[in-house]
Amino acid sequence: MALFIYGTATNTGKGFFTHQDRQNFYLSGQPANVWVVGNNEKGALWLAEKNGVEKTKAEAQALVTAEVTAAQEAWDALSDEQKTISSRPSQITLP
Amino acid sequence: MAGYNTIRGLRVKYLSADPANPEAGQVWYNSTTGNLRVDGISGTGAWSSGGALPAGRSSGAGFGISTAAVYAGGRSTTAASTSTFEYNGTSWTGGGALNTARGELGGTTAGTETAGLCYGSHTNPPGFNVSATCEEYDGSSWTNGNNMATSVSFEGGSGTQTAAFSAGGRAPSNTNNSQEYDGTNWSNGNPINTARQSLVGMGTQTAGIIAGGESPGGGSNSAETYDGTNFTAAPNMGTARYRLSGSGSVATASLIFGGRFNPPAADKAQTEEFNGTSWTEKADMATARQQLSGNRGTSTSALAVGGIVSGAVTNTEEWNVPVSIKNITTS
Repeated sequence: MALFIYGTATNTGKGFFTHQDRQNFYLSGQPANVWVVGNNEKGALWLAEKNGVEKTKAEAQALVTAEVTAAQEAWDALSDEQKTISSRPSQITLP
Repeated sequence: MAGYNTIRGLRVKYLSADPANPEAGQVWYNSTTGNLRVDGISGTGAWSSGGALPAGRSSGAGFGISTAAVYAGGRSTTAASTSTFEYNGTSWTGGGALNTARGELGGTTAGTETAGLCYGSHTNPPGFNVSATCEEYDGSSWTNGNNMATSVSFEGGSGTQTAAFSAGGRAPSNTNNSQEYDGTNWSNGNPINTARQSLVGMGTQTAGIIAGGESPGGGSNSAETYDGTNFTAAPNMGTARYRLSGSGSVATASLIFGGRFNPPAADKAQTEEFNGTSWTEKADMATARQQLSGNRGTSTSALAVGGIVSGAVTNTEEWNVPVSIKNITTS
């Protein structure tokens, strides 16, 4: 069985994920509203309750890579001066 | 064997129900359930989602407690902001505008929601000048204070509106500068041991701590305590990082979280707690990020606000260590 479920969901703020959720399953937020969720019953229920759209790992990775690539292109277009106060966004490999 | 009344000088109360507002460490016997009970047992800490900032921000100033916090200034992508947001434990609303737009404030500064302070920063381009300006917040508006003794950005700082400190940062290159504020004037203090920028400061002006940061060699895991006169090497953090943030009105019960490290370049979600003796890794934030802000909370109640993921984000996460009533089992 896969260790993780992948999906997209919009973070609605307070209560979107709770202290108890974090005790119940692994949860990691990524760019492009992608969430990596521990593959157990409570994790799957959480994604469903948040109106999440389940993705394959490859689909989720593509969304993250596209957003980071766009952010990298925006950073590359900054002046040298502006680049000194931030870091070039790094590509992320989903677990 | 000594009895409870001998050890504590108190008798265990017999109550028909648990008291409404027990104190940490209070012990009683619940005669209805037949259980000996104690309050103040700490559970496992975790980050949960909080209200979203009204706009994405990074590198702002955070202060106040988790249910009465302020996020001031910061950047929305490239522009430094004058905006102030106030948090009530559930949602953020607008506060008074800073007199000077500023970013790279060091993440956590000093004070409470109604007596806050922000200092140093970079101004808006062109120039990205390192600034010495200082402003005081009264819960509704900002008033210019006297300038810092040395212009600085990406500093670590903490304390109160009338007794704050600043350590390290850019001036405009990495500096070992430290400064103190007495509520009116800034004065230079003794240097920190390792020049660095993008570190975090916690605690008070006479019992503070700085941790992490970026030096030419990369991210740092070093920490230094401050006694109001000198900075002294403290135990290293478990994970080296810079552009991190933290929470801790008391240095010996403080928390650091997030940040960045390279190589390989990666944002961090890790959380560590300092108890005055050592650092202990705690549960990760849900979203790894850098250039986020904290507040003057505690190691059991903290905020992680904004920051950069691929761009400036609105995310707030709340750290909470639940405290509960437990049965005492005797044998």
